[in-house]
Amino acid sequence: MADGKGNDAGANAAEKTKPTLALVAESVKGCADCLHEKLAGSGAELIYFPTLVDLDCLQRDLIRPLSQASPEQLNSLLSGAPYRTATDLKSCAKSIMDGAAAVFAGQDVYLFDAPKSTGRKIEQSETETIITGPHDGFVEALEENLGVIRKRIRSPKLKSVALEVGEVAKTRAILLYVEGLANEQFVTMLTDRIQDIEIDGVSDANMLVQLIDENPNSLFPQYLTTERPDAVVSKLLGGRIAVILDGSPSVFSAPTAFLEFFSSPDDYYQRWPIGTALRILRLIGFLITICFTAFYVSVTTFHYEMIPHTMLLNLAESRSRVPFPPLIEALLMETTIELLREAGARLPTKIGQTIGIVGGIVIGQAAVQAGFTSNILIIAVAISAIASFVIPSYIMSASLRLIRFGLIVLAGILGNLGLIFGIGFLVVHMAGVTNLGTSYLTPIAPAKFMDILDTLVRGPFWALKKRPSLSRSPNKTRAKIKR
Amino acid sequence: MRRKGIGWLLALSLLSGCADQKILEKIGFARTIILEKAEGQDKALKVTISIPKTNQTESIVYTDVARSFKQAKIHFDMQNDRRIVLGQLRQVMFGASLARQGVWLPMESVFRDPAIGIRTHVIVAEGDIGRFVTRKYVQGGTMGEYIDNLLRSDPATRGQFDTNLHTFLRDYYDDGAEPVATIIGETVEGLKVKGIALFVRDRYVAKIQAEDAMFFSLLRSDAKNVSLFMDEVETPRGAGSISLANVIGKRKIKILSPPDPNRKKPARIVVELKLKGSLMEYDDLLEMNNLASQPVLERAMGKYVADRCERLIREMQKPGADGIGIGSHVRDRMRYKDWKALDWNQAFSDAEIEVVADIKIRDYGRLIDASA
Repeated sequence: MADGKGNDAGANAAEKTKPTLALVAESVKGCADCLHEKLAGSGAELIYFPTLVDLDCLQRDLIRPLSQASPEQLNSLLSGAPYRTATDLKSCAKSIMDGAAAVFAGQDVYLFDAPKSTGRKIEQSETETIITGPHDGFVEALEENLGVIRKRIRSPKLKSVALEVGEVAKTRAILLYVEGLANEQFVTMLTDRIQDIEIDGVSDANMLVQLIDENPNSLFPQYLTTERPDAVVSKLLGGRIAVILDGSPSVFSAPTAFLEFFSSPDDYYQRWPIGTALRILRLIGFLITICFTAFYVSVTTFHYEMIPHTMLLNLAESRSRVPFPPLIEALLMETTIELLREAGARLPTKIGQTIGIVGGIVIGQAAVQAGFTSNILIIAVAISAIASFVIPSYIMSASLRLIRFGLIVLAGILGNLGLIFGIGFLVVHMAGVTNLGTSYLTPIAPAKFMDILDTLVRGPFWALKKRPSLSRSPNKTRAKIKR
Repeated sequence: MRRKGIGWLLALSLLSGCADQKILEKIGFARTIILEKAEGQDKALKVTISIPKTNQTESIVYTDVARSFKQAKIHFDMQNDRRIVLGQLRQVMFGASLARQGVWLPMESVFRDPAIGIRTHVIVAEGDIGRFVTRKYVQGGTMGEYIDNLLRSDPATRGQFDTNLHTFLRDYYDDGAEPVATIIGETVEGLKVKGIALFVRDRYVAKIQAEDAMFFSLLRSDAKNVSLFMDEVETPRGAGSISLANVIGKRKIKILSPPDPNRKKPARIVVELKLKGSLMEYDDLLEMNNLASQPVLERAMGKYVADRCERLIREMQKPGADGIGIGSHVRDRMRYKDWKALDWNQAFSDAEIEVVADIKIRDYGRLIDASA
């Protein structure tokens, strides 16, 4: 791992203050959890945060040897590994915050790195579950996350750049790319952007990506965040760049196109026709999510001639008991569903089940019987809600759900014209969105046939010979399989 | 740029305050329009519409005598609690005597309504139409639903040619073809397809009997899954009836020479039918277990079909109603100026039209040996 050291070098260039016991003590003054102790035998003094260091390791490798040593032996003992000499106050303070103990022996200051690994163990991601394939998910600890990626790409070509985000929080971030596969320009671009962020702190990767995207006002997420190591690995091998942020279980990759949000690692673990069918199913889900309720509104308000005759009579009968026009009816029901979803997401699982039952009864039965809404609308709203959960990326699915409301209003005012107008507006907007300068609608605009094989559908592996053109990789060949 | 887009969006949403809303439960969808001549009144129409109720077994029927359909509709709107719209129209039914006078003028506003789709059938009704709408049918449902299903399941019209509003208007506007409609009449059990009405422009001029409808469909377009029943096929061993099913095939119109009115030479036209079907029923005409006899039977059937089709064409030629669209093929072979100068209805009546039918038996299953 190259983190920490790179930044030390950068700090050296600036002003250098030799750390002393007084100065270091001054810098951590007021931190009640900081420990300052003097060792009995050698007389060395230690400053460290027991909350950040591994106390067993500290006891075994630092406190015990130093306690047994005499003051004369101290400097020679500390001069070699695993101890290092601190020459700069700033980096010394930073190392302490990273989980090092500072040892003061006379005039010299040494550091002993014993960071404590905290947080949960690697477990399955809750937001992106799959059926077949690896079940590990990223956790909050950066080292763990980097470790699972390194284990999968066992090559020194996987390069990492250590970065720091947040003026106050100084959260660590690691930018990963495979040398020779990733476009160096993108690496520099992304590194610069992350380094240029001036903000107090960033608590999650999903927040970080909003600080570095090109269209901050767009509804659409512009970087793909995932909690799945296998997804990140395939992105890296496709020539993308990935960034891990400490404290966040999401890792994002760039550059990203719209259709990537509709693919799941599952697709590659299934036979290709099934993978393709799943991709198409998700795209249908996407269309249903944004259009279906809006279409109901437009058809019941303006285009009665589009409804099959038999269904029309049922629909008219059901509608005749509803006191609201279709637009208000649909907005009411969609809001109810969103309320249910949001309530379910915030509540603990055990209470969340109650919400499901209450919602099921209220929406499924009572609303129709009370003449609050028509039963076909219930179906439309339910199908749209289900379809929105088919989309693997939760962030994207939330965006689409909001877009749905806009389309419903347009359909209620202008009918199918409004619906098409709204979709047209979306397409125009998406065509303008860029990510690291690449088009968000790749491979549809610009049209890239070879990329369509791996986005709209999941082509057989013998057909997926090229890396996605989106990553502008210097090495375009991905596979040399013959049919 | 973005501000401009939002401006447009706002403008569009605000300017649409006068939108033509048709909220589902506030409208009544007419399913059937019936137009008849009003008895004893000149230039007056008897208009009847039927609006199905949501319980699907009853319908609301309004009748009025008016100068045009639109006038009658205004009267109906005064009575109905929901605004009457035509977007779910399934049948336009004309009384036979009105159809003979011409259907265009009274119905023009309906024909031009963009909300009406291609599922609307054009029907000429024989008999007492007033009874049709009020009668109860053992087939279930209302008249509108019954006729709609009947026409879509009728073997002659099913898949072969649709007598819907779209084809009716297409042929009406096409100067190389004349429109056709389905004729419906009453029986004890219900309603029955009684034949095909041939039109010249918008006037009903001749009727093709229901038995001939299949052969008419062969002439009108390529055959797709037709059933043919031939009652008197002449073979060397005698005459008998044959039934062919699942007939598929091609129709080809060959213009040997286009009409030349200056030299008083009529058009010479050959209609070629190439058909293939399964032999379903046959009188013991030939020993079918004998391979050599199959071509003989095929030739006999070909002659029968050709004769019957020619007879049909003669019937169509009498009023000059080109219901099978030969004119559009003739038009392709003539200069525009000559075609414009030509009276195709007359030229069609005068044309020498020959039908050649080539029939192949695709399969015949197990056959009982006649001599055994």
